[in-house]
Amino acid sequence: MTAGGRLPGPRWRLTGALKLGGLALVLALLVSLPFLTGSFYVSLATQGLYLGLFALSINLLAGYGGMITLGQAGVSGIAGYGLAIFLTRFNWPLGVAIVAALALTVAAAFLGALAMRTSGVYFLMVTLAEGMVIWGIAQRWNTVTGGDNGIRGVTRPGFASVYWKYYYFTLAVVALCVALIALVVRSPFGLTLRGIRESEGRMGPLGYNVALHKLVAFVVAGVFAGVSGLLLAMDNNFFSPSSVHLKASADGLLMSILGGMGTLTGAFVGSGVFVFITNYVSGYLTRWPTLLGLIFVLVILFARDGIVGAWNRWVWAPLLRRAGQAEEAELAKEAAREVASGLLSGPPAGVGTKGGPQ
Amino acid sequence: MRHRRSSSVLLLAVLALVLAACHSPGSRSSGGKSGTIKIGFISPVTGTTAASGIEMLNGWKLYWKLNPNTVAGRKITWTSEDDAGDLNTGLQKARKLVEQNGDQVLVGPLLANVSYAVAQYLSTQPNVVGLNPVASADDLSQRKAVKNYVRTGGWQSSTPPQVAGDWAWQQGYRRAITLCQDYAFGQESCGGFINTFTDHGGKIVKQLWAPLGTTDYSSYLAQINPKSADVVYIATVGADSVRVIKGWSQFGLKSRIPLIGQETTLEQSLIRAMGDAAVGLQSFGHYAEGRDDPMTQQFDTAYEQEYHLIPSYYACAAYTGAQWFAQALQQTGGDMSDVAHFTDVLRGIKLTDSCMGPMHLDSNGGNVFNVYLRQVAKDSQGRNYNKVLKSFPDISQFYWYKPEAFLAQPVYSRQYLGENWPTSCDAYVTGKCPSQSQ
Repeated sequence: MTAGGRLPGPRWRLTGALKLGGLALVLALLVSLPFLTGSFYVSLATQGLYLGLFALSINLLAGYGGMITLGQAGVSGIAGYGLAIFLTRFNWPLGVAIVAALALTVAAAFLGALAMRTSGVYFLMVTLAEGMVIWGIAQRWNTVTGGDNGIRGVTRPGFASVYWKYYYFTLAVVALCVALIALVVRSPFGLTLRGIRESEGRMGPLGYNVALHKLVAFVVAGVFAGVSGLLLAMDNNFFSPSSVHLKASADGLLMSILGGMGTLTGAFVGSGVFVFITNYVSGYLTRWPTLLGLIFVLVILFARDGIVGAWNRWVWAPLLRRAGQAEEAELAKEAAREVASGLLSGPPAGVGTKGGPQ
Repeated sequence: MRHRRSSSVLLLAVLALVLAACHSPGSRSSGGKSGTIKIGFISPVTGTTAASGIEMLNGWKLYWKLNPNTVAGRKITWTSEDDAGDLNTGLQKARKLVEQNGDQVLVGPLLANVSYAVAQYLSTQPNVVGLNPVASADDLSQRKAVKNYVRTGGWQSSTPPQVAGDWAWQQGYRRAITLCQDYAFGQESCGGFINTFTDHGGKIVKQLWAPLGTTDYSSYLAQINPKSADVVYIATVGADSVRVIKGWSQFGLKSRIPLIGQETTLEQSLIRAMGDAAVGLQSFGHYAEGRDDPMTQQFDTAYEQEYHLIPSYYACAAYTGAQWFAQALQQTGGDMSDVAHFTDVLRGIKLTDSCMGPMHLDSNGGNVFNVYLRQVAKDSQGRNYNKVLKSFPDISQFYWYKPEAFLAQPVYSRQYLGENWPTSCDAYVTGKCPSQSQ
């Protein structure tokens, strides 16, 4: 519950400065990337950014709200297909099409409403089913979605047609979205959401409308997933059923777990590793899916709080301790682990402690 | 403290700007006149179409094994990538080969829908030469042709079926059921068959569409009533073909109604896995491993020595693609500096014979080749292979239509299958409509 909690005094200032410095370094690197490397790496980074946003939208639900979803690609697909259809069939201008496609992701409210009564494994099953239904529609409703052909002819904004301009466009959009998500998780709403994650049964009697909070979280996460769907469609210039498939949802969830559930940076670390292995390592290693699987297994065995969590425990916390800030170090150590252990171990989610009233 | 923080941010921003000055985004160069030529090869070696994709890669490898790696003084190196039969992956791999490896030539992919995405990408990379030996998407040599993406040994999905539709009527079939894969390739295949079959006055009594990767065909096969039609046309790819043909036999349809397959439905890489279910079935294609011709036989022998298998069309096509490219390179004396000129040379190549037969491209970039009526038989070792029952020489992608009339129509899709076209006999090359009775 104390993740991201702020302590007054000089200790906060030092760690805060370090964190801010790190953020500035990462931002500077991201901004200068097109000047440092060739177009391939820039397009990989573009992909890493919007996949990271996708993973973060799952993280918002799963890591902060305790709602593990396997249907998020369906929600982002609604936006992607919406954009493609508005652009190519109705010939709407790009700006209008983008707004309309994002408005469609509010359809996530409908999907969320169907899943609201469930939690844990049952929530996972319902969202899995919803994702598959959307995929089925994408693949079979040929006259509208083009079936397996997908829809070609999605254009990028005129000012961002070249790969590096599109990269900056993506970077700006993703940065804005991350800032918004950071606001959401730090708001009273975000805290309530974490409360629901910790004990759904207690939040009700405390006077919170649990179902409404979950639904709003589902819609908010859906809109961000939609933004990543739009960025994907404009990057590839087409949209196809494979972007909506269960595999895409599962990939997003795995990225989120790999990076660290319940953290903002984790999603991007996860998507970075994922994109690097699928696109770069695959050129040298035929059995790259095995490597990816192995990494997932190792993370689950030894670092359930993901790469970011492991970093906090093994690097960041000892550093702080050496600097004489034991209290701060303990906080860093526990922050991610607490979330991960709640979600990935213990009694099956949705049974016992979390589900019913206590 | 606040002061120190903002100064560190400022420092980093300056650092970024310094780095920025070192390097700026640039564009790629062409294959040039000398040195090594780097080729990137894309085919699906995992996923639904893996069996066919591996054959494609093998055919390509075989050519460079049997022929010198240096053509017209230029060393050829190549790397291969797996697209897993997926659109997003295929596009990403094409980007990787061109932008990371710096490949000057891109070969592949296999699936028609992936090739449309690759073609769109190639249109933004005018210095890269694209070779398309397999993917048969119609529009790549019709309405959406890309100058630097050439059908080197490739074909059009609708070309063999257009012959098949005409032939089916000649056999006395009047009512047909079609079962096609529900994406670009299947739609173009069905379109070709339906267009020429209905020109004669044939009726399509039922159209069935199965998505790529359908695991169970029983619900489709159960809808085929042998009494309601005279013939069934099927166009499937990859593992789907094996499932549909096995089902065809298991449902007892094999003995009750004739079947005409598309090339890929009864393809060598797939009929191996079909056993007796495939024997005796007929299909139309631009390759037949049992073709009685020295080029085909030589290729069969070489391939069998290397891989201990009868080669499939994918192997022969990728092999021919390499042969086609090497011939063009010989013709320019190893010069690839002017990509526009080099693709013109590629488009002008005429193969008097290949493992598929004679081939050349028309002015739209469509491949003109022999179409074979093939039948699955067993060889001396009991292995399935396609023998040739009849050859139809020099078949154009426009078949018996005038190119301009044909191109004025949209590409075959679920919305347009040529059922009610042409409305006037002017659309035919001869100016006369095909016979309505026989």
